Amino acid sequence: MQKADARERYLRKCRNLMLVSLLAVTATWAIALVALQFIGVSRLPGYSLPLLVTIHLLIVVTHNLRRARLDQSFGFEEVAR
Amino acid sequence: MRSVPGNSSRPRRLTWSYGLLAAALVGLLVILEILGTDGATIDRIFLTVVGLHLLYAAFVSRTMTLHAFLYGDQAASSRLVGCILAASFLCGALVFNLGGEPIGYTALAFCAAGGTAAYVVLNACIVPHFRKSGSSSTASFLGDHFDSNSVRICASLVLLAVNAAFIIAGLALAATVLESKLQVTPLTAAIASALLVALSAIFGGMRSVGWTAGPLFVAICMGLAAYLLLPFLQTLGLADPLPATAELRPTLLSDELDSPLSVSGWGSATMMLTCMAGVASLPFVHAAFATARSLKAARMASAWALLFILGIVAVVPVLPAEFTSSTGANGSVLLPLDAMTQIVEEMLGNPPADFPQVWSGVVTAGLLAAAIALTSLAITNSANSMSNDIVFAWKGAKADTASRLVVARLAILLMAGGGAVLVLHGQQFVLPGISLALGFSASSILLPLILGIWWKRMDWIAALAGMLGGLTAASLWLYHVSTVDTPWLALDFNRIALPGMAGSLICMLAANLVHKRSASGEDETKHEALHFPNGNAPYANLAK
Repeated sequence: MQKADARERYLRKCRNLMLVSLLAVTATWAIALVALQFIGVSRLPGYSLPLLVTIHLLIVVTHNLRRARLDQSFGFEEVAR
Repeated sequence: MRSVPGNSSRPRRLTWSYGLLAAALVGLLVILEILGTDGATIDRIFLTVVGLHLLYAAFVSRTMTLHAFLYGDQAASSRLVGCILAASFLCGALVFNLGGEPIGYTALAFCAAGGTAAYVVLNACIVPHFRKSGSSSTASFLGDHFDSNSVRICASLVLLAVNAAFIIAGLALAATVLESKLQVTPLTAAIASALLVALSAIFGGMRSVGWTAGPLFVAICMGLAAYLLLPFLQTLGLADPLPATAELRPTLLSDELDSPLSVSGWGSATMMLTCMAGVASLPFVHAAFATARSLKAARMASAWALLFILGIVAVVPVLPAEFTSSTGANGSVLLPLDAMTQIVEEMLGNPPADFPQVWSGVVTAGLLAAAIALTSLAITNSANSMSNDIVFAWKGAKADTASRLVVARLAILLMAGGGAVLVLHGQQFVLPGISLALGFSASSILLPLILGIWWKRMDWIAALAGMLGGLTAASLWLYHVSTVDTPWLALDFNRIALPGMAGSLICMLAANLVHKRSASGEDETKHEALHFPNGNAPYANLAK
């Protein structure tokens, strides 16, 4: 029972982490689209695109760090076939 | 054979040797120019030498083992996989930008933002599980996961069609560059680009792709740096501003070409979603991750790809207008490649004043490298899938390695030849082909793939229904778009992925309801094997 609980907890945490990453992208996009709608295209700075890519990069790095910490806390070592 | 001793540092050595060779060659050719060598000879020498280096890298990666041909030995570092992905991304962006529909900066920026967001989706939802499954292609992953040859064949056919569009686009870019720079006939240019791509993939398959990725990425960076040198010098006040009629001028990107739809919130959101779903479902992108040496490397590859792409797009705001604004002339989606030829000719024309002639060779090599990087990856992925997921699908592990490799190599030759013919005779379909490929790929592959990984109750019937439903919905929407002036919900030709994905989801849920069942023990085991890092013994560590 204890093993099953730990397994379920691990899977739930992995799923939540995935959802949080996707939500972060959605939130970033929402802000960009609101900016587009209210500020106007002509006033968007030229560095909007590099900024968006940087945010995506930060989301990926944060996701990977959190995932590595999660695996570590459950005692997993990643093995691929 | 899981690993090849002594081969792990080969890609790094090839990358460094290319960088040193290109730098030495630039110095030598500058001296030759001072001594009176003419410009055409200098261009030919540079392109020949760097082309030979590429072919050498492809040749030394030759193999007769299936593991090397399918997975590139699974020895690629995260940086190398990032190089492959970034180079492919750049080539796609170049083809899209140089000859596509007239679009402005806003639309372009949202497309690129959607494309880079795809790496977040890949990293969070797909790649670790795909890499962990040990599959070499999206089709084999889906076939194995759902234990269904029907799913595998269906996914393979979609994969081949999607990859074909990108192969043709990459060959078209390479042929255009060769035709413009070397002043050869279109037939010669098409044959030369097909040969270059075929030879860069045929010897080692995915191992060739991995070993040539570093040199190709260096060539792209050198080409981009050379192209942007003058605008940067002018921005810093170190070079005289050019007259208004000059070809190269530093300028902020213009939004004059943006249509009302592309600058609206709805238009931008749907474009971003389409690009994200399209890139996240591309089979050759998944195949690149299969070459990573570990799960951790596969995860970090997304971060490296984004970092490399960031390095490239960070200079976008100071790019010359000719480079960034689209060249499409009439607003139709069925554009000939004349526009691309024209802009490539302008880019590769005479170097700016006070610049050595070799500048033009370096820029040409960068464009060619981008085209070859994308095309060789897509052609290898298609050939592997054709061999293992279609021809030998029913034989499974029983088919012998030599036969598989022969079929894969024949497929590479066939697709390169077919691509060259289509570049010559079907140019008007090259650019819309990319939009269609993204749309159909997202419609049929993405949701069955993600739900297959994350939803235990998905079975092969639901997956097959999702794929066929997505394809049908996207095709019907394409028919709708072609028959009306203003498509419903403003989902035009470039956005057919969204109705396609909706159709796919509805069909999957309907099939699941009709074929109602709860997850079996086997489903649970498969699910855990994909999600738990230590494979088939997920309880081992927890028990400690």
